[in-house]
Amino acid sequence: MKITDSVCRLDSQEKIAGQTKYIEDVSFEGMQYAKTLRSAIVCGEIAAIDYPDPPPGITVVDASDVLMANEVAMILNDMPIFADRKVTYFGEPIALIVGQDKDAVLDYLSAIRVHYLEKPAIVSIEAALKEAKTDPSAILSQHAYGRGSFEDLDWDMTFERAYETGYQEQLYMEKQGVVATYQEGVITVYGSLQCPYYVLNALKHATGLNETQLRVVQSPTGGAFGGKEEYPSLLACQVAMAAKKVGAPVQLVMDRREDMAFTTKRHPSKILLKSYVKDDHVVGVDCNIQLDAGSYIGLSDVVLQRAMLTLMGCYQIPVLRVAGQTLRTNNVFAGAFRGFGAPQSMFALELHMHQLATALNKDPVAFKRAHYVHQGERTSTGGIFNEPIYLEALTDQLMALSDYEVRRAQKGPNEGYGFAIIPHGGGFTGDGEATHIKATVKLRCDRAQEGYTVTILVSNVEMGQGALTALTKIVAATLEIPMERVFYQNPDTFVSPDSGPTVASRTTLVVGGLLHQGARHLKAYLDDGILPDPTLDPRLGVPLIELEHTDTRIWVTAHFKQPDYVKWCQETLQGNAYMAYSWSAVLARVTVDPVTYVANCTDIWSVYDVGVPIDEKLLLGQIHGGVVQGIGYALLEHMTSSNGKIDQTSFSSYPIPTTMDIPKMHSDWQINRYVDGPFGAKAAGELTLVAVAPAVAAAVQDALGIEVNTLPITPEKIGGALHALPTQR
Amino acid sequence: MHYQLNDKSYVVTEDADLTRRLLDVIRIDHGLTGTKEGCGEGECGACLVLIDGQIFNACLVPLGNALGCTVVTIEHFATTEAFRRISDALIRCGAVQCGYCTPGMVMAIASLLKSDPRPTDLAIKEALAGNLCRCTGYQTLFDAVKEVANSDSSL
Amino acid sequence: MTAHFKSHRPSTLKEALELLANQPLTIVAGGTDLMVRKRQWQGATRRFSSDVLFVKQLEALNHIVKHPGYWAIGAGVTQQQVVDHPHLPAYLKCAVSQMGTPAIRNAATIGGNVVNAAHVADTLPPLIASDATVVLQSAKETREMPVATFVTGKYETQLKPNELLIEIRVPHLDISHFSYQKLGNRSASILSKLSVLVLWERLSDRPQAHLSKVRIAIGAVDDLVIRAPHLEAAVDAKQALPQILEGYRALMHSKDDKRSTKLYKETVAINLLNQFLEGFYE
Repeated sequence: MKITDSVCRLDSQEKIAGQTKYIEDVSFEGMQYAKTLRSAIVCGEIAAIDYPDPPPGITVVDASDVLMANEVAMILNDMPIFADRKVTYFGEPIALIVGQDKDAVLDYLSAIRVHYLEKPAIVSIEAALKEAKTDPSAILSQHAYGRGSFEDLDWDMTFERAYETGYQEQLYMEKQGVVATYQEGVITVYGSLQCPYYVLNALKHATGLNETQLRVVQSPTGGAFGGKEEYPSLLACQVAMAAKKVGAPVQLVMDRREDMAFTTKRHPSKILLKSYVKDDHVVGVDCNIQLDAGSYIGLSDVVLQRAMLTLMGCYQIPVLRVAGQTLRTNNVFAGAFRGFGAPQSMFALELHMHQLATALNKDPVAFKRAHYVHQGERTSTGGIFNEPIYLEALTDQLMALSDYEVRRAQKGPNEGYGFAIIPHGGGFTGDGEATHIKATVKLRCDRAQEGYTVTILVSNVEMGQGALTALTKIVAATLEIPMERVFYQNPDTFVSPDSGPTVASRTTLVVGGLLHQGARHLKAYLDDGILPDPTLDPRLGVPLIELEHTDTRIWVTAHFKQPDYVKWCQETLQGNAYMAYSWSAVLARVTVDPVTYVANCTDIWSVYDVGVPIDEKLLLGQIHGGVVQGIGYALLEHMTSSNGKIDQTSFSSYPIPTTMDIPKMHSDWQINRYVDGPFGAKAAGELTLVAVAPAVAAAVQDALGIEVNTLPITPEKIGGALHALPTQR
Repeated sequence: MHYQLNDKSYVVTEDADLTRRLLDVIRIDHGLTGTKEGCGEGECGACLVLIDGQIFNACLVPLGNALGCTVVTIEHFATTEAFRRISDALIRCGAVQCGYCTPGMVMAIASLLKSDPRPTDLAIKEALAGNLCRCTGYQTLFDAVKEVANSDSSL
Repeated sequence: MTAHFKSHRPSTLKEALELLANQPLTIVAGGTDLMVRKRQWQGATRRFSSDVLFVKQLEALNHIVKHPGYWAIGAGVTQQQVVDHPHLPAYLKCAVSQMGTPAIRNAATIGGNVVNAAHVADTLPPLIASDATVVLQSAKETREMPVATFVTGKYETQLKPNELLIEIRVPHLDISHFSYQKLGNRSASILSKLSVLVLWERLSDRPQAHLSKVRIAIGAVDDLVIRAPHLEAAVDAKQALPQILEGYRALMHSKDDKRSTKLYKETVAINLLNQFLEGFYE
């Protein structure tokens, strides 16, 4: 097959028929069920826990049952598996109550009495900043970088605005769930998860066991969006201890309301942006970003870095200062979510540029265009934009697709248009792919009479985004064989090498790239008997491509090597923050009802540069899904926390878009071949969400002439903003 | 007291707890896991089944209200020609991503096309408004429904 | 584990009322609200403090009949049956058609929505606007009272423990026009933040449009549906609009909640009323 052939997803048939077994659908012999005992307070000490004598068949699993370290290994190990003496957020897990009879588990759970010494809680960014004056550890992490000097800057006006975004819940349709078994000295964790090796590493740290005694198997995953990036490590450690103690398989599937109340969400943010303008041109930007991390740092510092490093957006800004902090609060633990910091910072920057253009009486599209970066110029972190940049072409394409000029000329009352354009770096920040991830992929080729078959062995999961199909297609197209002869092995740490986590839009770009390399060498060997270069890579200590063979089998292993042009210093945040950028330009049309203050996004036009799409249907799936999730972030998905407790913990109180809430979506893309991507592909997964909210926000402002600088833009906020204007009513 | 599930009749004893959810009966007693629990409160549609030909959220139906009725789950519906046509259209249109909402979505589509073989765009949206999907943005689902509706024969 | 309570599923209304006469029972109709309130870990037993009485199977509760003077709608009639009925009043069908989702409407009953008496119950504005009544029956007696009297507060009614709501009676109104607007936090499948229903007759013998027999019901803003006959009469008499709106505003005692704010709900309810009425005042 060829890469340009359009294909159908390989996993659809069994999903449609209900045959796919998600974790909740799997039953193990003698399986027991775990329910979590959670903190009933927001912050304080546990003075004592009265556990009644458990009836037969009921087991309590808590901090005292942790085999080695009561820590969930992430970047730092600051989060306990089970809260021990202190609790730092409402609903923090204290113990698992395990049994075969769910009613008996619930009865026992309700008989447990936990005695707390309650302490004052910190439940907002402001309170954390105040706390930091006496306790510096309230700032969990902070960074700053910049270029140029504000002192020497020549400017004639400044423009300053504050922006705020709220929680967003991933709301994957399948709840969090894991099962652990303990058999023949091996603890196996099956689960709905994005990162099998994150889980394995957390299990190693918590148990002291090694990778032959610990096994992680990804089960079919019903959506994740970042919500199953770091969080499953916590659940896996809990059930692993439970399975070991009970000696039977233990299932922990969260109830939906638990999942909404207590698992990670997109970070609430406060962003302050100040622009320095000279002759209608932005010459300097000073920015500060604050994220509410919750009580543990988790991935928050990495989220902050992406928010900060993306801050220059698509623009060439000569003088820049970007600072950011993650704040420790007693709110729910915030974490990974599609976009990973960029949705917050790009909302602020893009709306800011729109507002600045409006203040200068300029067309926002033309104003933004005048600031675009170009190939060969410096990135905000002093790296070089190595690849061709199609921002002009994307903008032209978007204007043509939307008939922008005509629409603007005919714009009616309470109708508005908003334009946003954003970059998204594929893969880990800086040299993370080379220094932290060090991805390895394997291909196993089985020779058979009717031709050979190839099996893909990676740790990157199918979670709805189409990885299974995309990776299979890349390998089949490279080998020029039908897709039916290529198989994707569901990740299992006993057989799958560590090709890294399924995050950061890296699966096609990095893992697909490695598979493409591996498959090319396999083909060279199969067709012409050519063996790969055996030279050891100086950094890895192995050849980049290894090939072993028997009479019936060939194994090809490919290791990641950072492109030579990527240079990065993590201490100073200087160099190439990302190996390749994808780009997205979005135009939103919004109408606002002047009676109800409801903003309705009727149309989204969007164009993308994702290099060469691996498959147009897969790309469209990412576009539609990302746009609609972006509409939810922009207009509907209002999640708040009162005194440390999430207010909206059910589907009926947290409204994600239904079929009736979606705009008409018009999309297209540019082909911009990326030399180091498989068949020229770049990242696409997160990109599609990021520009939607700022485009919608700009459109609301365009419609009403008022600023709403916080997300989501609810009718309550629009009404409030309209009434704040004395001339309006 | 009895109920019919996918072609077979099952007896319910006098002392049975009739407040059990039909969803639990289907998944636990019968091991039919194609019917999913997304939210457990009738908001997401992942647990849709047909009861006497109409869609219901199995998470909200107490067993007592299914007695005397015929319940069809995705496993049984998957053996029909109507299913095959919906399934083919979903695959061709790329309307399946994580798949968790899909069996319920199929039930809603089948119910719509049975009562309204040529639905308008608005009718499609209204009929699927109780089926939440977080992956697809719904557009390809609409395309698939239209593809089935526009074919020569009705379901 | 066996449940600590018994399930009763009588086949006749008489049996049901006899059961109710002897003990307090939790009544299950369509289950769409109760099953959520009693939600439980998947597979675990729902916990009820009393025995449970199923009523959905009772034929005596499943009728839609036109009587002289009123429509009789059995309490067990589903929302979808109301929507699909060819002759029930359009304003009622319109409000019910925007409740829940297609699957919910197949299960949820009219009686359940009334007797549950949530402040966001969307059947209440049309029933209260039309002066509908409920018929309550026990083994001993049958009584009828206006819906507006029956519902006494948020989740509070005058239903006695031994009674069953068996029928809702919607009077035939000499009214041909209505306007209904419901607002939630999205376009479909959502609970009301507020709703405004206006029923009226248009006197067509006049050159200008003119309102008469106006009935206005505002739902979800307060714990109870707002209906004010004296202000309706003021509209009929074409008294000054600002004072009428002022009057409605004074009746509102909304609260901030996790879905919206007091200010928003009250302001927009007034805006909607104003938008509707001002067309007739020009």
